[in-house]
Amino acid sequence: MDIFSNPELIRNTRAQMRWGRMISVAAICAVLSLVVGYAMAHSQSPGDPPGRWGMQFLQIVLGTQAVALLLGGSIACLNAVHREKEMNTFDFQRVTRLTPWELALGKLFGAPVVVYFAVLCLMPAALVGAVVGGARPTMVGAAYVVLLLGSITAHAFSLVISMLHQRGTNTGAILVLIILLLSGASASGPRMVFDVGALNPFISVQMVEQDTWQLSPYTPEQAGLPETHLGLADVFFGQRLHHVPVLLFLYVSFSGWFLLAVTRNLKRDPSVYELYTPNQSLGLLVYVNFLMLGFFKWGSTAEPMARQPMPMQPYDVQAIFLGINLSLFFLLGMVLLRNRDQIRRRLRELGDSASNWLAASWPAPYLLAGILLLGLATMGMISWKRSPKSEWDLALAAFRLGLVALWVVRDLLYLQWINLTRIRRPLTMGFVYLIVFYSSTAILFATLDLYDKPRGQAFTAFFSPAAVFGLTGKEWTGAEVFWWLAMFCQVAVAAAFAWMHRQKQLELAPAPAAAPAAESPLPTVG
Amino acid sequence: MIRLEDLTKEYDVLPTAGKPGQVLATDRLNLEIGEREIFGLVGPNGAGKTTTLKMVCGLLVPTAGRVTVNGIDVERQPEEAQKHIGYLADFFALYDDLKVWEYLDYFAHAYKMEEAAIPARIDFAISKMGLEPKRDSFIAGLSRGMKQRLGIARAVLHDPPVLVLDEPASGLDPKARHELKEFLRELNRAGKTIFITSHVLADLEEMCTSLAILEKGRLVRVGKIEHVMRSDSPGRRVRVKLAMASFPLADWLGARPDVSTVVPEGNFASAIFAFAGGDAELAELVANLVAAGAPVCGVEEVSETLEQIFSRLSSGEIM
Repeated sequence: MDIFSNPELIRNTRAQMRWGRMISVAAICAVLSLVVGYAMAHSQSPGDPPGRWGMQFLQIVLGTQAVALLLGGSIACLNAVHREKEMNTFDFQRVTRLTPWELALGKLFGAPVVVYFAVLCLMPAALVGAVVGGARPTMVGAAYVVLLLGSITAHAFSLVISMLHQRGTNTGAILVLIILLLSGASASGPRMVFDVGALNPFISVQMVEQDTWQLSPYTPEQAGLPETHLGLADVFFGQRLHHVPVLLFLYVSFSGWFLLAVTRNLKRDPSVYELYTPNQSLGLLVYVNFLMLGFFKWGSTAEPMARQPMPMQPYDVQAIFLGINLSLFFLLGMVLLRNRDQIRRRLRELGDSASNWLAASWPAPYLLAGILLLGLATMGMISWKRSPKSEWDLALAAFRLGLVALWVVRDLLYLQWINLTRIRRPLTMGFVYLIVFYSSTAILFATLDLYDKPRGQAFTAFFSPAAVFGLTGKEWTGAEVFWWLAMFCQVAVAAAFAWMHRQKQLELAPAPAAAPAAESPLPTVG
Repeated sequence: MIRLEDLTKEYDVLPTAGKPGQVLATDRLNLEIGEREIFGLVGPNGAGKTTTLKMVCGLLVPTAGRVTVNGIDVERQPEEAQKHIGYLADFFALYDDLKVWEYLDYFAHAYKMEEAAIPARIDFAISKMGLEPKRDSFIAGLSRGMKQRLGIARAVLHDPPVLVLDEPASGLDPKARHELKEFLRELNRAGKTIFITSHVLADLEEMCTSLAILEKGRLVRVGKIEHVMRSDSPGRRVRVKLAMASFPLADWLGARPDVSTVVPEGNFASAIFAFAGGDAELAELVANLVAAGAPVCGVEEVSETLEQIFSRLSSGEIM
């Protein structure tokens, strides 16, 4: 089934693209194009180069298209599954013979179909701007490809959220999405630690100004200002690459990951959604870490660059990777958490083995294996790339890694336990309790000046091991026992939550078969 | 055709005073529905009817047990099984911004029907459901009953061998309900298996070939309709009518050892009672009644309706 004969796409097109609406959208776009074009043409100063207004006009039109596609399209996709569930129409789609892949593609391109139409209606204005402004055609084409693929990535992510979010959380989900998109619009974030340019599709607005495909001699960090970094080289494991193919590769690969989550679950019973299998989740994190290791500014750890205000020390680099992986593995752990329905099914399918100690430690084994594997890879890279003069003790680095791994395991075992309690929205409540816990301890420890003393830092790690990110030989010396106690504390708390998790599993176990179901005198008919 | 094996669904509700937070919607249901059956599932609200139907369609995953449709495991091969199923939910919405024919066209393609057969099949479904005048109307403008008809048209559109219908008569006027019954019978004669729930028990009694009564997730009665109607009956039920209410009928009947459960009707001019004897004993009872001075003007045997059986068997407790 090709995409244009996809029933879900056709349904969306029929529902949203009635003549009246199409004429309205086209008219609004035409009026906007004429007014903005006229204003730009007449605002040109005598000293401006000829055609300058055309380039500005193109950028305004492209910016408008980017906002429409990214925000409008993402909000449409955010409603695509969620709204169907609220309307009670989604079950009928689930019982059709559409494969999850066909249904996902139909929604991915169908939900924002009006936005695509508006973008098309603005194309004549963009073309006028490009011709008058003397934009390089291949660069304009590349800018649109970047915008399109970047938008598809955002739309695929919105579909994942749409599939997951619950009744009454739509406004919140839209707000989070807008914040994510806008925060991603900042071009400076990744360049602080990674040799890669801005990742947001809004970059297409700046791309059209470029008149060459030649690689800039500068890395993204050296190039400085966002508007001058176009055409620059990203650096991946020391290899200089043009930013556009890097962007396209990242968009396609992440769209693939998001769509995998959608297609795995779209037609399933929502009570047994599982975004990724444990192996897929681990694969995603290995992939993200591979990218991070590849794009990391390893040069700055060896020889400080002219514009680098302070060279990064190996422990700082490890702290960056540990911090990012802490968040990523927390998310992975969330994906792997089991709910009461899943536990009940496992208990009935697997019997006692579904409530033994190994089951009670879920998802700790995957988290530990993943964090340790990727943490060791990072340590290997640091050992290889670091300056010989810098401070770096492998044993201490391994301790830092171990403590962070146990920290994640502790919190995820807590969330796994609370996810099995019979309260409304247990995970949300679990999060709220975590936020309250971390906020309270941070305020208390700061008030007691514990963060300023080595032993105090180690003591804070009993409760909130964040101080481990700043742990170097200086903080370690004299406080070793406290740090080991902090690690033991994580193990003890994690074990306590595993025990509580096991109690919940035992509660959910089916009653012994002593009380058989009422048998009817005629259990079968026909 | 449809086989339920130890089908169990357990879920949580927020605990309230005196009620558990954990509910067994269906408890180890075992059932086999043969080809060409019209199988009715009856039960009070919350008995697990909709849950059972959703599990048959693969929309809900059972906590334990399995469902097969045409020999296909619904949980393992949902798309393959769903090819054989037409489903209508009890509460549903349609796409208000589509026209009637567009809605059916969407589902015809979604069920991957042969392209050439789609227009004729849409015409058939529209005409069978009496939707011709509304063919080009937007769904938003349809009445509740018309929307229900469109929902049924969608369920039968791809000509599935199994129809799973949850309250299909809901919102239909009496004429449309009658037409629906006729249409379902016609489909059944054409070889379809129909698994149906309804609160209009008279319709089910008239239409179904087999029936199950579900109570708190358990089957309390199941079998061929005649069997269910007969089984566990407390005896023959007889109605005696008097020309006037001048005779203490209920008291007289209540004093006889072969009579039980006397229910007076109207102005005590008639009564229904359970009678343990045969025809000869009934003739003797009537003769004695006349001899005692009762102005008897009618005697008839009353069969128990499905509604009465259901009321008798079901505690009617909402879970």
